[in-house]
Amino acid sequence: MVLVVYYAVPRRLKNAVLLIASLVFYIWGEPRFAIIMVSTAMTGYLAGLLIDCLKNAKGRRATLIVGLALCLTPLLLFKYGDFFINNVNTVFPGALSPLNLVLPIGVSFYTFQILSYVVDVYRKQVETERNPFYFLMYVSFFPQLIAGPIVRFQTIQEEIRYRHVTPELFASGITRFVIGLGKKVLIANNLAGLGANLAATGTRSVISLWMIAFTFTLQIYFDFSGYSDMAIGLGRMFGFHFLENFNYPYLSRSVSDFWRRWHMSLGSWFRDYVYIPMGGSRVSGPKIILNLFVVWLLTGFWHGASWNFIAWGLFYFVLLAIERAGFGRVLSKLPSAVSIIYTFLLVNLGFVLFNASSLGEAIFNLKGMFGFQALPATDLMAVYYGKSYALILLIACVAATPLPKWLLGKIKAVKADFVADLVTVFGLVLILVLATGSLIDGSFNPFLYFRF
Amino acid sequence: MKHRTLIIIVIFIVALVAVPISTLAMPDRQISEVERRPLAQAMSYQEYLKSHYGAELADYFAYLETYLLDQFPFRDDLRVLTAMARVYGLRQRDNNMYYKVGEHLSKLDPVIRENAVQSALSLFNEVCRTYFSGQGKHVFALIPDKNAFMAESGGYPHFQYDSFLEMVSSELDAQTQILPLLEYLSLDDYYRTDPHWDQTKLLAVADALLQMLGVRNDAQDEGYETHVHSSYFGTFAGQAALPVKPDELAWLTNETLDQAIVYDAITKQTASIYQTDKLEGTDPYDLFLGGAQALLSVKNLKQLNGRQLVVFRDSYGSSMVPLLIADYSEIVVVDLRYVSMSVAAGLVDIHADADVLLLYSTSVLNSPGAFKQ
Repeated sequence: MVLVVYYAVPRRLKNAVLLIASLVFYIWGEPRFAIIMVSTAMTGYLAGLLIDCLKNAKGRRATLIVGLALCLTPLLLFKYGDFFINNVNTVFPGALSPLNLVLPIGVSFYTFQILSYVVDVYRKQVETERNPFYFLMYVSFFPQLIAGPIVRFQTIQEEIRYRHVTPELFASGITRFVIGLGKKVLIANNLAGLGANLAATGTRSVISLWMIAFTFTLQIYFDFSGYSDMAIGLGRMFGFHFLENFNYPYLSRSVSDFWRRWHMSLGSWFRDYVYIPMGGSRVSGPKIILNLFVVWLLTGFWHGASWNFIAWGLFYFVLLAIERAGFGRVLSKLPSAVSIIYTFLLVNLGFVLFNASSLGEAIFNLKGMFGFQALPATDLMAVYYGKSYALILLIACVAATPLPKWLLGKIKAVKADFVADLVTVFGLVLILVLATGSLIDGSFNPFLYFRF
Repeated sequence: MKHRTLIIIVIFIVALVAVPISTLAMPDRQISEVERRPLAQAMSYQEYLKSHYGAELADYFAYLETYLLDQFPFRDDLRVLTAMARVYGLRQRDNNMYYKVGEHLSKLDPVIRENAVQSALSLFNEVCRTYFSGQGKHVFALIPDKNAFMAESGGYPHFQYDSFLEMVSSELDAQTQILPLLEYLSLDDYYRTDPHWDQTKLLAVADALLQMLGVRNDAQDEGYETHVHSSYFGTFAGQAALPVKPDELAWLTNETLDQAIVYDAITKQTASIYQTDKLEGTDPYDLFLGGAQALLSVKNLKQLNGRQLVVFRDSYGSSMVPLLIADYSEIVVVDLRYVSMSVAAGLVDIHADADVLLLYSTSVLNSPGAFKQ
């Protein structure tokens, strides 16, 4: 409906349509928190204006610090407030009352977008936006509001004012959107079903724990990258070019490589706004380690206010520190199959920490996977579900590689453009119909990254 | 512009326009016959607030999403297509836990939930001790679900009926005799598209029950006449959304059953044993005793021995009770999922020396929180 209205109105009203649609979309999900999103956006907008107006360095810096602190306040309060309170209460029982606040949808994403804008204005890397509605549209733009990617203002600043949608761009947006929908609904949701079924059996074995870990590793990729594809696709349909967020991360040859391919917008955010300002790699060895520690502690914490997310972040800190200390060079000399399997296994283990509801559960699962929990090697239900979902797991494994794209390219290469076009169109229609059917048939399956 | 670009845009726009137009053009459906549930209806925010006390705007938006999905054009066809894609395309062994072996559908129930079973059995013990202290017979009959006959052969996980029975034996009071029903039944005694058993195939089970209740020594010919309702799609058919042939829903009548009166102690209404108007409703299996009723008293006007049987049952009992009536003046039918025994005892005259039949399927006993304590 938004698309119909968007293309029906004259050019000068198009941004207004997008802004209203974005606000309605957010209010639809959670009306109470719209005010928090809008006020945080306006805080960032005003901070940018003030920084731009001020001429002396001290004033600019002070405004930057105050602006950042104000923009971070809702995130800290709603997401981390109870985490700190509960930990204080663990040491001093009953010292503080929990806030019991519900997390506003997408707060981690839009806060990071606003912070990047304020810092970029301070650094004079982006032109200050003077139109508050344009800025609010950037923050609230519905395709990427609730689960990323984290879009920098400089990426779309020009397109907010001037953009042109060609039929080719629009069709590529449709294609990308439908592929994302298929990744989310047909693959990720099916894998979520497998994980839930395995978890619901009530029995655990070494095989079932490995299956849960493996399934979740695939599920989270298709869930999150599917959402990013949909955001990128919708963006194109409205004339925006968002940057890529994933690049076949499960073909990474090292953990460092993995983080250059996974949630790229978050990785580059921490690199540009935390790691490099702290000195990055151009400092002494111990300082580099400290910088890495801070970045990965924050990365883990960004994903959730829980010790298992912190452990997940620190797990990567250790792995990256080891690779930086020289193991990375060893990995680069190994056959690619070995280094890919090495990375994939570690990513799997990392997601066991990530997927657990507590650090205790994560430790139990990890010990169980390696035979330290006196669990049986296998169980009936794991075997059943393994057989039942074998094909979808295989499809997921293949779809996580560039093989499908390569195959389509091969068809084109043998001058069979017509066949390639036919395959593409038929595939898109099939995905659209099956995804619609699945959504109708299935229960509500929110995106995993909603909670961040 | 390339042809592919044009085709993609045209298909997308057609889909984008066709869906809302179809939704608006087609009248809202009240119920889904195949899913056997009411569908969400269009409602203004004010109406929603009136019917959902304490609801907020976000709840209303969630309701609207449910409404749109429920009223989506070709909803039933899309569900079938999705199920077929899962089972025949992706080779998933089940669709949302429902599976098919040959022409029979069933639902996975792989493990015994010991807490649920123990809780139900303790309730039965308490009911028998409290309300049936007389000399009547107490019999527990465990109905195997269809999985007991088709899971293993189809390669599906399922608990062993004998393990379930052992648990029942160890938990129930010694005075309650246990009748395993597995040996009296086969898969063909159940509907293909429904979890329930076919009444016309239950005469041997009924005889075994009556013999254990001590009212008969051997099988008797009751002179039943068979009636058939064709094109019966059971609950599994809609839930599994897989293509299946319809069943025939059959029931047995004789003079005794024709004259018997069913009194609903909750609604204070009377009816006949077979309520044929239900054949046109959402669940034709409600033909038997009107379906899910909490507390019924079935009076046999042709039997004046004053003997009372109290049947604690789930839905399987609806089709069995008519086959037990001949030797009793009254059968009180209690569904402890919908009414507690203390309430039931206040509404119907229950004799302390009545015979008691606890007639339950493994699937209901294995459902946590099924019973009113």
